[in-house]
Amino acid sequence: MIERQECDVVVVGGGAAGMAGALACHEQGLRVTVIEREESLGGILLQCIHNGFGLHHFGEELTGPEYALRFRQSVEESGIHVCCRTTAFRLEDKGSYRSVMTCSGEHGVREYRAKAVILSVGCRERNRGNIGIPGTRPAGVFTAGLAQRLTNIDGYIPGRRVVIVGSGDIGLIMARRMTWLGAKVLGVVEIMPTCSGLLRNVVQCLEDFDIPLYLGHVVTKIIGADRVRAVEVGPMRDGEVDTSAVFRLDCDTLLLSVGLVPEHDLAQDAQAEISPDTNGPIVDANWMTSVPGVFACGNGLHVHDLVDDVSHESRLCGLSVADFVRVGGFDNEQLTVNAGTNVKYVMPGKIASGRGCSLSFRSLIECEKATCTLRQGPNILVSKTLRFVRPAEMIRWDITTEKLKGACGEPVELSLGKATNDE
Amino acid sequence: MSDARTITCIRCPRGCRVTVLSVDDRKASGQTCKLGLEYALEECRCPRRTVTAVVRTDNEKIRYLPVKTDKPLKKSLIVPLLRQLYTMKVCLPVESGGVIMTDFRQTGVNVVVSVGAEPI
Repeated sequence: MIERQECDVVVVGGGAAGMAGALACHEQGLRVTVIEREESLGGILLQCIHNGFGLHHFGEELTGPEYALRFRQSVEESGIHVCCRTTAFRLEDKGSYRSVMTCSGEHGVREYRAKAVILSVGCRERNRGNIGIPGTRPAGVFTAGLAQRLTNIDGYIPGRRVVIVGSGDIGLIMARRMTWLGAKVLGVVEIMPTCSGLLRNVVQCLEDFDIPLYLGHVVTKIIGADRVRAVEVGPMRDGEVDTSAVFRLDCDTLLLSVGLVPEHDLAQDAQAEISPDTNGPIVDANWMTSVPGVFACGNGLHVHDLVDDVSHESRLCGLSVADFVRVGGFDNEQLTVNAGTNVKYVMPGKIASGRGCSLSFRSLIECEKATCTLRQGPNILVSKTLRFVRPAEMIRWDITTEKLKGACGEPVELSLGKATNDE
Repeated sequence: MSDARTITCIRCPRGCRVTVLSVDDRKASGQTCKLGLEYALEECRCPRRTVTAVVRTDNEKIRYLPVKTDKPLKKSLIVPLLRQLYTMKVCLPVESGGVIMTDFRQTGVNVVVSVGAEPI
């Protein structure tokens, strides 16, 4: 007989998103259970020992573990029920309730029956297989996040001479980390013509140590039998590698920082629709997936650059869950938000008509002074000028209820363009 | 110092490009807040960075703890600081924010534990 527990909300994942979502639900009087696979709450923040977190949310610069601690303390004080060392492996919509199956060494298999579920499950790193680097398969090839865990939690040094593939933030942060651990970082190889991490990380993680950034370059081959001995790197010309300009970097370690993908297994298991743009579940204006009562937020929904944005989004998600549990559903009219010119995707893909919203989106262009505009047919509902937009930086736009008063019916479109001078 | 120098501010994720026109007169352009001005002037006078690392504990379950400097440290002193941190062993329990090194080389910079731990 499987042990069964009941509560209002099960939060799957106790990282930044899960903690903020759980706290919002608890604040609204719901009985919340958080399921966390690791030893303690905190998620990926615990291995991000560098500083730079929390400037928006707390108004001060914190390290990842410090940011996590503040939320963990709030969760502990609240009395929210937390199950660590527990994995959720199945999610099903049973109509009147949602069933979450979990297992742990301590309690074996358990079923949680909840009115609502928040999926705050985080994301996974893309790896060698995803980008298909040719060559042998020696030891010494790590994803950057795994290397970060090894250095910052387990206390191992993955290698002495390091090449990093991809200029995402984790790769840049690891360039500095490895240098400070006494390793030599020979370069960061980025296929795109621009860096995909934050500018400040280029400055403090590469320029500070004179680490070369090879933009528009790819690793064309990994060399080595038991252990990586070298990689070959070549520039891209017109979409192909210029083989005449390939050079060799002697190294023992290759770190891959080539993108993150929302972990959508549980959402898919529950038959939620998955977005081809973000790889996370599709959510509506209430952060609810296509499965009633199943919600999603954080990097499990779409990949964020800043944890502050994750906390903000997850709180909104939690408040929405509280509405759902109280009333048993939503009946608000919703408008579809489409990504228009120069916009890669908009999250959420729907807004409630006549209600304020918080839109997160990514630009396809890099420029100074850009105008973002929300249109409904020919009418401009609201627009705003941004100082600087880059594909690597998510933009958050909080729009007040007032601005959206007249909007109902037809889909709206969010677009970005270079601002004209008078703005 | 009259030569203009452009610096990317690292105080927040925005990454403003600040052009310092004169350090003595505190003149700069391109920043969008006062942190940017302060950072750019400091960067011209004496670049400093907050240093983060992990240090070994005396516990076999929680083997390493994250630590940080409580203020930015002069860049040239970062490697000497790290060398010293890597030889240390911290005894548990230790509180979050607990100081494990005081006034490193008379700079006024302390090293604190980001998040403490109880022995398990």
